Amino acid sequence: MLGTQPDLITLVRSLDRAGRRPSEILRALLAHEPTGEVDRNLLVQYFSEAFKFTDGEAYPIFGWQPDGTGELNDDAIDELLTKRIQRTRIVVETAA
Amino acid sequence: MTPSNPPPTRSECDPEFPALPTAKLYFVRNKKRPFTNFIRAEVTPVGYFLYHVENTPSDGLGCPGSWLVNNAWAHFVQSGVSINGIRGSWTYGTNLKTINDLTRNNAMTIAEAATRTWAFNQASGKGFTSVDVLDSHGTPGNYTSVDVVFLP
Repeated sequence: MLGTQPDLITLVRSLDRAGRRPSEILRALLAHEPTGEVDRNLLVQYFSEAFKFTDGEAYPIFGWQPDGTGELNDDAIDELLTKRIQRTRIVVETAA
Repeated sequence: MTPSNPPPTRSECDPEFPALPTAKLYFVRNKKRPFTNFIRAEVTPVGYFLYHVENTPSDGLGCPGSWLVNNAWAHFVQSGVSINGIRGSWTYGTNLKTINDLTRNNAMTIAEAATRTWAFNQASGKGFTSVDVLDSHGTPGNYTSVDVVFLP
């Protein structure tokens, strides 16, 4: 969907499991973008698919830019997304 | 499949679907400004319309935000999707700024301030005029996230 690649979904999950911060995971995704463009919608899609977000939990990514020019800096995006990833993880684990 | 014709005065508005819209997800971007003029809209599992829209630079030539929202809305309605509310999930941007400006010194509650946002204007035009505050973080005037739903 929207051009996501399964191996990059796997990468997002594996980096999260390894304890990498969301901002680090976002930069890892961008490193795989051959054009160098920052397509935030694609980043949102990767996080949504990787963590099974269904209520816009990844939307803060729209406010982030890798060069720090976004309204949300690395610390802010890390705090927002870490909470949301943890919440989803609890739901998934509870349901399992 | 292409989006509906853009407003004629918007000479820099050239909308396209990067992926075919579905009953759950709709994405349109301006080919001329693909990373700064677009909408992503979806319907959540509980039937809430949720979107993020951007239109920069603000030169009056790109695809208007309200036009993008209305097209996304029309897509879901025409797809037969039942929409129970319109979500606002704000962690930055103009809607959160409005909330913080208006709640400073407890001048308004979040629910009151939410009725002054750009998002409320969009929602009220579709008949969703009441506000339910789902979650918030921060203090009046300094919220870092606000989640609301506009209901009929």
